[in-house]
Amino acid sequence: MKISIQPVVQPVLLTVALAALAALVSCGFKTYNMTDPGKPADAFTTFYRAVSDGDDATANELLYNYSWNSFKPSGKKDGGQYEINGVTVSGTDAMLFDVMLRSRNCRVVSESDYSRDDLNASVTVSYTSFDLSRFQKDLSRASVKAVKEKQRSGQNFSSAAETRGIIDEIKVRLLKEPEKYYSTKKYKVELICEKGRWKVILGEDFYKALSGNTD
Amino acid sequence: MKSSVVKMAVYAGLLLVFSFAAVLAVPSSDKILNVSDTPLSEKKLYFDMAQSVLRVNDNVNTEIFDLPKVYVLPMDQSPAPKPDPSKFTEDSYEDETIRVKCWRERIEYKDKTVTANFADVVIAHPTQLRTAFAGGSYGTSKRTHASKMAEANNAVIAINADFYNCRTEGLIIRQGTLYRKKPFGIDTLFIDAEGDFSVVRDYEARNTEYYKQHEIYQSIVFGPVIVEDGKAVKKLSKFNSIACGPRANNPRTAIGQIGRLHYLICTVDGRSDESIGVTTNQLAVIMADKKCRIAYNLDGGQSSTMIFNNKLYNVVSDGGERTMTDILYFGTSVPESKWNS
Repeated sequence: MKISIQPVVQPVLLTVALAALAALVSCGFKTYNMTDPGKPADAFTTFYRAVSDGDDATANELLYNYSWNSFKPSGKKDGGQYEINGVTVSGTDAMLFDVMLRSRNCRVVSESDYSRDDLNASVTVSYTSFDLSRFQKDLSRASVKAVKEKQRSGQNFSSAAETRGIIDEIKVRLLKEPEKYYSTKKYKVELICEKGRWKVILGEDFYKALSGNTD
Repeated sequence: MKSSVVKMAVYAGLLLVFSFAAVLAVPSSDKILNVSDTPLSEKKLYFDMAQSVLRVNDNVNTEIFDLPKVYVLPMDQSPAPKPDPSKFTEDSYEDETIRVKCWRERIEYKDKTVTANFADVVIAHPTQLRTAFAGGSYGTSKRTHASKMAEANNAVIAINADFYNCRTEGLIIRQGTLYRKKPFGIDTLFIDAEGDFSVVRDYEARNTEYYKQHEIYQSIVFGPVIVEDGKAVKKLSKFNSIACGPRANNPRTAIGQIGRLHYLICTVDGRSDESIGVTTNQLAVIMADKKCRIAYNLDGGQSSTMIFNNKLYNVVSDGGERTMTDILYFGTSVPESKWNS
């Protein structure tokens, strides 16, 4: 049997076929990209290091579900205070902020099974940080006690400024032993392989731990 | 012919590739992944950390402002601030510095039933437990009704004290000032700067320097102590010479401490068919039953008076209120200017 294709149709068919080939190369092949995405644990470690260093570009590359702008603080050396996106943290608040920054330590303790074809993986990380919630409870308890004692000697407190001195004094005392408030917890962090790279899916629990959220 | 077959093969191959491409071009993650945190929002780690740090002070401040306000009253003969009339009910008063709850009980014994009047009082500061003299100062011979003294001093609740000028002995300290130092062989009640009660027993009272070792705001010389360590005292100390028959049924007044800045005052009606009164031992049991750690007997008989909101709360014997020299009272410490705050 002789199949004849009209010479006019031949270039059209050829164009369609080449377009299909181009689509295959640009889209479909990425899933089967032979580039090794590396270990999820390494991707997480790189991400965490970028977070700690305030390297937003790297953090963004390795973060799946959020955009990242850490607003790394500035100004500490000059005025003993931090400037963070228009917020000033000074005095004993800056001391507390310092302690929180210093307390952070994160390491991967295990990695889930994964293969190149799997799109999901997870790592379990051990994260040590300053337990702001526990610190606040101790600070509250001691401050309330001190205020009660001073009230009994005739002092009245009707503004935040009046109590600020008491709170600051106790805060400084408690921060002399910051290690008492160090807390280590394990978190499971999911990762997804996208564009041949492992990316971190930032869960709310882990983000709360990173940001010292006490709510 | 050969050329056509080759072309056919090329087109077939390209179509095959096209089919694969159509399938594979669909983003693979959309098919397989189920990610819940999909909304793309911005995380601001250090900004959020700073907010967490600043929130600590706010939270601690909130706890401090939630504390009841404490106002300290001067330890002199000046009256307490006026209580807020809107805070009174028929049998209670409560503001941020004082809580008073009054009630009456009928207490049955084998041979009688008596009426006891109680007031449970909690204050915020020891200076709210105060004493006042008739005429406003020590040493006058003036006597007046307890209700008039209570009103003049803005008492929320008041009771008769020890009728100090019925005798010339005893250690009299009132509102932190020592007025008389003639040791007397009966129990003396001391109320210190913390609002805590203590008693120096009869044999010690003659030579005691107790008041010098403690910051004493009030001393009361009547007695005896009727509850100690939460137990009714069975063998009571020697009685004041002006005390009315301790073993007889009589109207009685007592004050006790239940806990820190927490007190109980009691009068038992007497000398009437309705309520004949109690012995001092029976009063001791009443005060111990009400959880007093320490309780002290005050002047009784017709002196036995309890004033709440400037009105008599008990039934005074022998025809009504008598004039007397002093009262013990509890006042608010909220200044009138802060009533609505």
